[in-house]
Amino acid sequence: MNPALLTTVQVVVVVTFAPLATGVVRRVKAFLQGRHGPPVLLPYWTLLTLMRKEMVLSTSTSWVFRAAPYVVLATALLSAAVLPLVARGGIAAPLSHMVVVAGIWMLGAVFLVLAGLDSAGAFGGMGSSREMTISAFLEPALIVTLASFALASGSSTVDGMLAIGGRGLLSRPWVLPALASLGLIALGENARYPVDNPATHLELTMVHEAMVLEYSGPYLALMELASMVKLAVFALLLVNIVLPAGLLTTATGIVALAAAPLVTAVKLGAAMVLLALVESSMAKLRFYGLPEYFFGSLFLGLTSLALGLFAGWL
Amino acid sequence: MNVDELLRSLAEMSRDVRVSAEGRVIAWVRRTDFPGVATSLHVRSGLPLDLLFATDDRAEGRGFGVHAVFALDQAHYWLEIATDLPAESPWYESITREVMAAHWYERYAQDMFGIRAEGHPDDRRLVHHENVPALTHPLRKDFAWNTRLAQANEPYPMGRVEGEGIFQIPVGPIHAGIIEPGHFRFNVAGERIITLEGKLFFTHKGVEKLLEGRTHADALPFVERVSGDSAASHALAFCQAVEAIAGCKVPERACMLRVLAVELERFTMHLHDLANICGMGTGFTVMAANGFRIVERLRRLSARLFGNRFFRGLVVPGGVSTPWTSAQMADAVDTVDGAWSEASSLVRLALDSDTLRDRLETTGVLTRDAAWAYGAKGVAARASGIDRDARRNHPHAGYGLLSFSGRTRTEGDVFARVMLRVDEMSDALNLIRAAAGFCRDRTSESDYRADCECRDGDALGWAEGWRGQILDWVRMRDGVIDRAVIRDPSFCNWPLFGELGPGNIVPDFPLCNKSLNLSYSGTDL
Amino acid sequence: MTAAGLASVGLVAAALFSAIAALAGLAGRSRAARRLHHAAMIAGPVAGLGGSFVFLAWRVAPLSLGASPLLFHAPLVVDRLSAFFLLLLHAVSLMASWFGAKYTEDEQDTYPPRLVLPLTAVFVLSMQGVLLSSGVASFLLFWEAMSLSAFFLVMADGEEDSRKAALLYLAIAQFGAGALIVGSGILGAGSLFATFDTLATSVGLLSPGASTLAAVLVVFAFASKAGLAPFHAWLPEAHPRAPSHVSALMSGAMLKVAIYGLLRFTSVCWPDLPAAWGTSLLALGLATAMVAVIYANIAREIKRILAWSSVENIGLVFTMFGFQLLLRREGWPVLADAAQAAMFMHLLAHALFKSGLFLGAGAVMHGAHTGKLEMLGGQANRMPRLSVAVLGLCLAGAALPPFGSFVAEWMLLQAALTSLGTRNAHVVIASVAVLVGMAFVAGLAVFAMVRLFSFVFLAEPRSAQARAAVEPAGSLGRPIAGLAAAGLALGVLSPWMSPLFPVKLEVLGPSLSAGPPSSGPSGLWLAPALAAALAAALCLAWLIRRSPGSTLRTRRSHTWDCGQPIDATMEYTATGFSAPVRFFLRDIVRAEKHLVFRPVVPSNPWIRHGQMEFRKAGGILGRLYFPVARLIEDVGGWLKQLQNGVIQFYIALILATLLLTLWVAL
Repeated sequence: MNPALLTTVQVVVVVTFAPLATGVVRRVKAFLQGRHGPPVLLPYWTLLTLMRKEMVLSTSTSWVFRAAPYVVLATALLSAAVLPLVARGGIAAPLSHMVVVAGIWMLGAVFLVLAGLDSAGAFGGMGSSREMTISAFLEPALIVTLASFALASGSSTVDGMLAIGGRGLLSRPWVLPALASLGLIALGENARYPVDNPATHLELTMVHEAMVLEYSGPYLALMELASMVKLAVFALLLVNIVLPAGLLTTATGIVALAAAPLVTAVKLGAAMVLLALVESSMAKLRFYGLPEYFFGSLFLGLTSLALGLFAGWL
Repeated sequence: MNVDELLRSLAEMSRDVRVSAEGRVIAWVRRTDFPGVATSLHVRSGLPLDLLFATDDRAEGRGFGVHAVFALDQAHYWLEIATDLPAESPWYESITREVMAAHWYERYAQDMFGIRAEGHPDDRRLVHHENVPALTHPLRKDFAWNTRLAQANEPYPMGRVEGEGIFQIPVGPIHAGIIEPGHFRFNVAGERIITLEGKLFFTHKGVEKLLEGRTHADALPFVERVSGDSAASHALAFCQAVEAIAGCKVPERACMLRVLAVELERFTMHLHDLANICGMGTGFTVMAANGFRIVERLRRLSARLFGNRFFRGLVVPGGVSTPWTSAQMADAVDTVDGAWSEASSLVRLALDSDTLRDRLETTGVLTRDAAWAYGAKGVAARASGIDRDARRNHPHAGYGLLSFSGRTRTEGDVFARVMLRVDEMSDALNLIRAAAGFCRDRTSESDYRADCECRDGDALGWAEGWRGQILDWVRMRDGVIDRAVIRDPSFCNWPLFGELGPGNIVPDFPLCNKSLNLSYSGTDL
Repeated sequence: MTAAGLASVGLVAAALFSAIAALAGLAGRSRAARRLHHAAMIAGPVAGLGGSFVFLAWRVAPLSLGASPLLFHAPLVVDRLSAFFLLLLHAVSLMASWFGAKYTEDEQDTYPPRLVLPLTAVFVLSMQGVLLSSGVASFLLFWEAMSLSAFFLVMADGEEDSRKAALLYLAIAQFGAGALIVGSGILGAGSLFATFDTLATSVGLLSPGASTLAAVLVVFAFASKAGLAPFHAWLPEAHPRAPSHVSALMSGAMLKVAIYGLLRFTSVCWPDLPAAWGTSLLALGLATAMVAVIYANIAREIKRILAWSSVENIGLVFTMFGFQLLLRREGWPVLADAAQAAMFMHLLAHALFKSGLFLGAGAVMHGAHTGKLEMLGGQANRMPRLSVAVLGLCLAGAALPPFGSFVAEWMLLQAALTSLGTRNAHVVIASVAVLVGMAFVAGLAVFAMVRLFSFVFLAEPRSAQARAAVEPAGSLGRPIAGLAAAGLALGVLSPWMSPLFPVKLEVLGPSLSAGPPSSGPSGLWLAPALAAALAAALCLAWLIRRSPGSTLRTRRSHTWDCGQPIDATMEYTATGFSAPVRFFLRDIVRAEKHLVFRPVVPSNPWIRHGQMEFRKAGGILGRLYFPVARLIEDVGGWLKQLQNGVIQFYIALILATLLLTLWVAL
């Protein structure tokens, strides 16, 4: 299949299923709490409703606030295009270089933070300060974790990391701590438990929601879509590292195209159920207890890297 | 110092000392002596100030009155120090200069009666916000309850900490959750709280004003709705006050049913708080979902027994409204039993969660000194090592006939307040069983309500609600209420946030807030 | 005319224009003279840029621009290394002078033009001299001229704090200069009149001990000038004090000139420094960057933050330098080249964004009359054009895609990743340190830049003067925008930038195989591809926003804050924004929050007024500099006791010296 087509299919599938993933995780969490929960398709309706709603812009905000939704969504879309989520070897795949991916995510986080501060309220600033802290302190863990995957696969593009044959990355058992670390990073980067509570109404405890508090209408829809896409990207990435099966490549025929949405939906669903289980079984961490979380994930990544380097010597 | 000594020393400077039926010593002193006596009772004799209120006695030509009520916990007595202030210049020297517990009471009297506490270290407005014109004193007799006020813009500055980089976080009065309006102002330089101050009284209902001129039966529905989550305990405190005035003897079965009502309310609300703190406060949603599910069963029990979901309507002046059958009592005991066994497994779940305990422990510490100085009530005080419980110190309803000792903890953090609630739930369960047993064995179903006339006089009424000590002072004149003071424990506990908040980080404040669970409505009468 | 001729004309003209500017500045009382000064200040770098560009792009062989007895007969020579630094210097000084032309006129009351104008020209001229010198003596002469002109510029505003900062700077600069003179003396076998060519041969005659001593002295000299920890304390004090366009020159160009000196001396004298030097410089560089980036998050004044960020970036440069040195000594020339390319890329990227940010700081402070973050804010609505440029510069400062600084970081990290496969313990440990350290620094650098931009430009202004600020004049804004565009172009067009660098620019291929990188195209083409992909993603986001059915209706209203009117005292402060950093790294930062609560009445301790201030614990000044200064003072005091005025004691001393000399000599 054509590499350009691969990337296009991947972006379309990921963006299409991203709201569903959010719907599933909400529904499963509700179920685990003994509630019915909202319909799984509700996020789609939320987005459509928001797109039609009049927007209220704060008088304190500047052009940065209006530019942020585009940049934040663009970085989420870009990461959905370059990473091996539905397909491998797409036209954008060479850009899945780990440093570039980290840079893209950071760029999105930066604009989110700028937007939160631009609203001139205490809540936006609060969310921004926390988000910036989380992003900045997770950066070493992210680089080290991806470096140990790179070491395991011999490739520094994420696309190349999944390209190794056999049982994939897990055929090197020493990447397991790094996988755990990536899980922690994913939770932190997506503002999920135990770093942030996506469902809370308590403004004082919010991270992500506090930053987008001033957004409404279509801009809010862009922001929400961006965070849904980002969640789906991380979920699919994690699943694919464990189970790289079912990825489209340039070698697969056009028929496999039909199966891609199904495979993606199953992978996303599994990841979301797991996420719901994690989120239902713990309390949110104390914000000033987060260094343990950051250094824990860095330590896991370093463990993998060290083990990998030793394994290389033997 | 024992009571006799105290009374003798008071008699020397007091023009009139008498002892009332409900167990209250009243001593009238001169205006100039009032601050000294009150301060010395608190500071030197170590008596807790439980109530300070003003009255408008100008109709009798006595100007305004200021009354301070202290508790003689060991002797099971109350001590009321009162003084008259001239109508044309109603002022006295502030006792807040040394007695922190008088802080809000004096500001309240200043707003509502125009009585100045001279030298108050913080003489800003309290109840009145910026929009209320100066010289508006709603509880004066010459102020009609339906007066329309002009829009004003009087200053109500919030406390600010000076320094480069300090900023304020305003939260409320409109919150994202479904709670009542209240405004909180943090001074921070980041996440760590430096100071914290509340601004309440957004929805003043004028309950005290509306009670005036009503009979006690007419007044009761208002009192029960002062704070919807403590309907039974507020009704109990108020009814005991009017019963004391009327000299009415409440039948034993009614006393026990009153214990049942108050303890059911306590059990329900403590369980609610347990779920709310551990679940909503920390995001440990399983606790919240399951806790609220059990609470709902108790609400339905209330619907079966009380005819409403809020434990309202049982406690009436003279006794209780219905005698309850044995089957109804068994229903109550069984439901609470079932709820307790489920609740204890939830508690075990909470104690097993490291992340949860990490959030609760050392969070929102209230020191014993602060709790004492501010006159903290209920769970907040007892979790900080202040062993005060009106059920034991001032036995009322059927508590004197039941064995009960009370609980305390000393850590003063959120965890202590949670665990104290768990302990009190188990006590409540025992009290419910004992009260139901007492009713079944020793009382008759027919004797549940005595006559309670509307007589003139004044009296205190009190109850230890789930939130803490409720203290009412009622004066009847010409068969109707002349002045009713309703003091919910929230009024004493709100300022505690200024002490237990600072030092914590901002995202832990909701947890601190939930750990006290104070009533906006009960404060904003 | 040949390319070589063009290049030499351009470079000589640049120097001459600077000299004219200096003279015109000296006569700066008349408007015409000042006009002439500014024209020459702009014309010089234009000529210099042209000259160095032609030299680099046409790959001209090293050429001599002539000699003079004034410069001790050593010719002025340009080669690819000096041409690269000349390009960098002229680029920065062009924008700084363009900005300065208006800025110095407007700020006459603060910075006396009679002092600032000639000194700035001398400063620029002496930096060119350092880069062009082929002899040690002329190098030292220009070096001193550069240090001294900078010293006077730092205290140009005549304030007490500026004088203190300038003196601290002078002390360390003279320490460094002393070390450089002694080191050069050792290298030249006692003569300071060697040229770099003769130095290369004479250094071979030195004993290993002497050679190492000289290396230590020379590296110390350049490291202290560049601001490597622990010799960095002067930088955050001195750089912010100068007029903004001079700050831009100091951080953008002067620090790079120090790096040039390091590269020149090491390449001439010690082409085979042992690997341990690489490791030590790498470690020092990383430590510098890590500490500096933390302080960049704590400082609350724009130019101070920028100065700390300069220290951080110099730390990164030293990291890259040490890393490439280590790789080369351990036998991995391809990897070493990649790390070296990253270093040059970073040098240029930092020169562009940092001078742009200093100019931006000048423009903001010019409009709002304060540089304190806690008094600024809201400028994006007041200076929209400037805010766009400064946001670009901040993103470049945060090393975010697709800016040049990101490409430099990417080049280095890719080299470090590839080095993981070398199975050389020394290299592998260094690579892991680089990966973790760089990521830590990168994360906090983003934090610092976001903080800088947000608290100047976003939300509501925090003071009356910030509220009254307006967009600066175009002649102030355009150079800033130019530098931002240059920083962006450096990243997006990096594959085409390679000829301007003294080494080949390259991002190693994605494969981590230990051998030479695969023969495929250099990874650098991914930089423009990334920019294109980002642009495409932005278009897609825009299309989603404009999808059928979505509304364009908007309404303006106040920020929601729980139904309470809010003002500027209720928005986050810069202090608060980085509070988690202070808390998480409290063992390093040791900033103390001092809260003073005073009860309103003494008898009630519970009702009180609060006041807070931050006191930074002693810092490097208190922990290292002052003890050293005290030690010198003590030793001096002890030595002074020898001066006891007894003639017999002096004679005994002379005898003892004589005996000692004889003993050593024989």
